[in-house]
Amino acid sequence: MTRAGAKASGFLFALLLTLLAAEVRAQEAGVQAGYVGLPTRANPGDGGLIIGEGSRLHAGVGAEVGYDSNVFYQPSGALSSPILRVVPFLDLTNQQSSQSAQTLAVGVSYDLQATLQYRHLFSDDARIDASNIRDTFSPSVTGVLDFSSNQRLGLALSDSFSRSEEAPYTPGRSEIIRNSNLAAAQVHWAPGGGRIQGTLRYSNEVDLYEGDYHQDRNMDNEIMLDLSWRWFPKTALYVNLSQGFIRYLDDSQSNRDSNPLRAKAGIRGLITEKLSAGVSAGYAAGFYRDGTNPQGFGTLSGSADTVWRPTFLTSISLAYRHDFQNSIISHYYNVDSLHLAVRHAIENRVIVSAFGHYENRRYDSAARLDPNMPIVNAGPTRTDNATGAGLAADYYVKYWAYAGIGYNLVVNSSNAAFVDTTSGQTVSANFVKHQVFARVGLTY
Amino acid sequence: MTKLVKIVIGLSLASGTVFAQPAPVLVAPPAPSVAGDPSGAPAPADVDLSVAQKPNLTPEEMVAQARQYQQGMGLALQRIQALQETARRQKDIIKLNCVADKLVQTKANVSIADQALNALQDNVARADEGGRTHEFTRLTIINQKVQVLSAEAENCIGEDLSFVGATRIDVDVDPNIPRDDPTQPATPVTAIDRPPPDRAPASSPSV
Repeated sequence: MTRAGAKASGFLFALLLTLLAAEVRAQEAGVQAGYVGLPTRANPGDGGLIIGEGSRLHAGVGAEVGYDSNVFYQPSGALSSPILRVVPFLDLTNQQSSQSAQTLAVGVSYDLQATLQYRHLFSDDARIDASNIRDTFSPSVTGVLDFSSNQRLGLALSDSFSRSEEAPYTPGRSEIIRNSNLAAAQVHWAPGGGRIQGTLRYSNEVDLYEGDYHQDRNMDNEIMLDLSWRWFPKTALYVNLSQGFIRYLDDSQSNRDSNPLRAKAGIRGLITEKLSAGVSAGYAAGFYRDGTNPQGFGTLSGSADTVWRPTFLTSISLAYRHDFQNSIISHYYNVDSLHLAVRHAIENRVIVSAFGHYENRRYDSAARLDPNMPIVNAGPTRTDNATGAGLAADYYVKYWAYAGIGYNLVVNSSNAAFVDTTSGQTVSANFVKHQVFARVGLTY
Repeated sequence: MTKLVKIVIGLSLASGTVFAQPAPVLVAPPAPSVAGDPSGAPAPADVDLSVAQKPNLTPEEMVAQARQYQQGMGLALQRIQALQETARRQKDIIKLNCVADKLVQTKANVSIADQALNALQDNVARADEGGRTHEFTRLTIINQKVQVLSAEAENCIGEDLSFVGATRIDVDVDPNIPRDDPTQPATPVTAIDRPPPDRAPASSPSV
């Protein structure tokens, strides 16, 4: 293998692992973005502009042209449109690898990333202009600062801000704007040989909605304590305790304030050099202000995930989760989710990825009622089955340039129904959305 | 003690005998008659093959020989001290401890030898034949001990002839093992997800 070929192989494998790591982290949060989007991280290792000792500035831009079959997520009579999406990014970091905080500078590592997604809908339909979604900008900024990550005592600070502008469920109504900021401070302690580890983390997440969901603005403060024993160098038994404090910023929604508590134990890490797994089980409770709380099996919080790397350039991940999740349209919903992702590099030039995601959401009976927007549930409680799937293939002309295609499917099947006040008809909350894209991009 | 060291020590003892000043040949005195023996015949003598008990040197020769012993032991002590410094420079704790042990013993024997020499000289001045013989014998034995210790100290440093080197630990990590640490709790991630539908679409203005 030539030097260029070896460089490309190393880059593709690193990118594969980067994507996989992001996928696993998304699973831990219980939410899947649903689309294998444009790369927004730099190639680890070589590349980038050297700013200082150990610091590199990476930049890149990607563009997608495609078709959206259901712009407004409608159950019938969907509006479709050609679509353009452009995502430039900047990444300033001194980390050797995007997976770990291996520092170049002594004791301190950082990673600052900024992206800006621009989306344009080409359809001439006036409802697109009425909803103000023809041209949208969705920025995101993420910063991570890690002190002494590999020492006995380490401190990590992080902050992530994102703004999204999404089409409303009702054509012509204002867009759904969400501003979200997640800040976290973490202390990590590993005395002696590092067999026993402890992590204490405080996080603050603010969700600010604009438009129809403005009264669902909320803030979540959470304290987490994680204690683990490294059974093997890369396998640990752990207990995890977290206490959250969710407060709605609108006084009319204060009855939905809650103090979610989770206590679980499990194992996580490598089983073999190619197989990693995590299993946990525990107790979860919501402690909502009005007395609402998950019941029975809903108080069980459990998860199981595994990642298998049969070859150097292939990874397969499977994850299952059972828990309850706070909901802005009710108090909470009990969720069972299943996620599968496969990624493979072919001939050191092509990266193929596919994913499938399914969630069964069972909302509590005390769903938020809006007198201006009548809702009629077909059953005693609302149940949604959300399904997502995607496929993407990227060909790397050079290690810094790629071209590819992508497909994304989003499906929601619900027993909830709404009353159309104009026609008096009952409309469901079901929708099916297809997206296909062709894309090109540069990363340096 | 390894077989090799035993051989070396044995050779050292022999060499000590070869390189040291030739010990005087002492003749064992006849064993005294055993009291109560009716025959009066002398009992069989226990012959000491290592060191004879009675030198046939004049007092002046004894003192001169003793002084040579003292000079030789001094040189041996200096040599062992030099070997200790060598081990210290090499930062070899095993060699250092070995040589230090020989040095301590050598110093003790040299100190005893100094006392014996002084006593020998006193006994010569007093014409105490028995005393000077005793002290001279002591000096001879001490001298041989110091020569053995010197040879052993040489062996301490000369161990590298059979020493293969410092222990080195090489760790080979399977490249298939991920470099990240999967034992750490996952970092918090913002859920990028749109709210579920919860209102009638007919609320939209007609266009």
